Amino acid sequence: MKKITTRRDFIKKTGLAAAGVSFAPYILPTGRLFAPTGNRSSEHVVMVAFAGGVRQQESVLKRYLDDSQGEPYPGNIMYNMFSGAPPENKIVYGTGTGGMNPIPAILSESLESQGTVFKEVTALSAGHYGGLNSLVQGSTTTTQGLKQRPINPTIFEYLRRHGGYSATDVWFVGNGIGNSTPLLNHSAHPDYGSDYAGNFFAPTVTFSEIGAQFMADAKIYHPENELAPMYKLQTFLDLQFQALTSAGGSLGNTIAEKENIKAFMEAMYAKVAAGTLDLPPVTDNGDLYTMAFAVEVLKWFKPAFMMVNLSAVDSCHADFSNYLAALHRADHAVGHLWNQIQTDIPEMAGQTTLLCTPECGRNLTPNNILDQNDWLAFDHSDANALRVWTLMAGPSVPAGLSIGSEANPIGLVSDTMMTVADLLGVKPEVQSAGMTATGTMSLLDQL
Amino acid sequence: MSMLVSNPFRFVLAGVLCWLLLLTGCRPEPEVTFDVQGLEVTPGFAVKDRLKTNEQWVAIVHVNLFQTAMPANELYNAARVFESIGDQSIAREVLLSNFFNQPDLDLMTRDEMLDDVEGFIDETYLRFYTRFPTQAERTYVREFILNNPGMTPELVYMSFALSDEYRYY
Repeated sequence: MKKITTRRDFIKKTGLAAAGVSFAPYILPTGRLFAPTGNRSSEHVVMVAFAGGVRQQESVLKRYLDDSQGEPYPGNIMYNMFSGAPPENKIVYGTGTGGMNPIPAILSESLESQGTVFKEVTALSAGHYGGLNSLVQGSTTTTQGLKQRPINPTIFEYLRRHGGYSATDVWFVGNGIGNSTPLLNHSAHPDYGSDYAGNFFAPTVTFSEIGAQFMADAKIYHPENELAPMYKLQTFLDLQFQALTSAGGSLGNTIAEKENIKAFMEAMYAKVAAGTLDLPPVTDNGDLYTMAFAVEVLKWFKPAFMMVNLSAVDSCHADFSNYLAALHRADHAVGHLWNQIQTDIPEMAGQTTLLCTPECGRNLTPNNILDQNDWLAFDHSDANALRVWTLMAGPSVPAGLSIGSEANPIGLVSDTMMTVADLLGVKPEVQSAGMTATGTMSLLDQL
Repeated sequence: MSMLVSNPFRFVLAGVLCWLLLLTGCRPEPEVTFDVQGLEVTPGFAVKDRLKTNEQWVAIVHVNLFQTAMPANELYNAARVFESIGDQSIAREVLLSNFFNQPDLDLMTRDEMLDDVEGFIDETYLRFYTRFPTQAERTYVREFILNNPGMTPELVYMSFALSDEYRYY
């Protein structure tokens, strides 16, 4: 009797075959033998682009209303990430009427106490776009336009090209599809590009009601009897076409990886429909949903590297109270992320390094827009918008260490990208490529 | 008064000339044949060098499969969902498999396809590529269909819709 092969079996078999192949040396598209020259010191790295323009004052300095609205109420509203007591009065950032109920901490010990904080890091750009580019490319290029692929290679491409990581080993989970977000998973650089891209989802769109309308009812094909010949015929058709023009265009996912991603999508639509998604304890804004799906990506793929982008605090342009609430929730999202990694993903627990860096800061002085509490809003364009921080935690990161101060800034935003390269063993290649901002170096080299 | 206008002979002459022109000018076009087989001219793949946008691809594949246009708002939403997925080839594949799961999609059976496999191949190339297959393509696809019992019209359509040539126009 013929054994029926399920899709899971197919993925498993092809995965094992791929793993077998990976043990043997192979030639990279660069033409050289696969042998990254750096030392990998972390099995997994998660980078959080935090979280849409964050003022030092309300985040790492824990000043709450004291340095923004002229009201003497300091306090720490990010107690999963930073150590320190929360504000005692004028609570507007929580849940319930007027946000008066702070969200309880998820982590029993703050990430600051578990890791290292670079308290005064210099951003390369006062804008989101330049800031995000400095996080993914390690540089900003003034000639690069909005809605354009990065000009220089991204960390995803460095990892895949020089580290031999597979496409499903590197992920970018975006907060949406606005501006250039969906374009940040690979550059337009001729030596890198889509063949080395990171996989990308903007889950609040992909797995939304609209996404489900087009994607949730996918037909399941038999991997050997149906999909295999279908792909074979497609290959023939592509070969005919490529004989005359160059087409290309995918991210370099193998067939097994594609099947795995499709299986993940199917599982996510089912979880959303059944209400069984692994949500943070409070999930009432887009960032928290984004983080919930980011955790699902980690659980499913256990990637070597994932970058997740949060952005809800950008409401600070017009609504300071909402900014405080979003900042509190971004902290809640990071707490959920770290907690899930340590408690619910055994393959990543104790082997994952977390890096959180705002892509840019916010102004020192407010604009003229008042919110419902008569508090002024803040844009991001002055020198204060170039002040940010970086928080790191993980097995090779010293605990309870604080580096730098307002009088002694240490580190650049682009250092975060170089630190990822360092942790995952491709720092020498990134450095020799010579396309990062001047002065960019691994934060591990600045401890 | 001018002599030219008042001369009745000139009016008669002009009338005769007009009649002659009408008689010769309205003659039906003679059907000329050169004993050469008629051939419908379709664009070849050599000229397809412009990449379809996601919206164009979704719109065209919907028409190719359902023979109806997708409403504009749905098209906009589908393109947004495409943008949210990094690997566009996966997005295309999943969308297609959703289309093939819809009950109002009327596809022929494998037996119907085999009744006139050459006709099916020509029709499929025209439907998806707006061109006829070359003889080599026709031969390969015919043998492929005949030798793979699992190849249904649905899977053939999927191969074409996912192919690189279909992404260009």
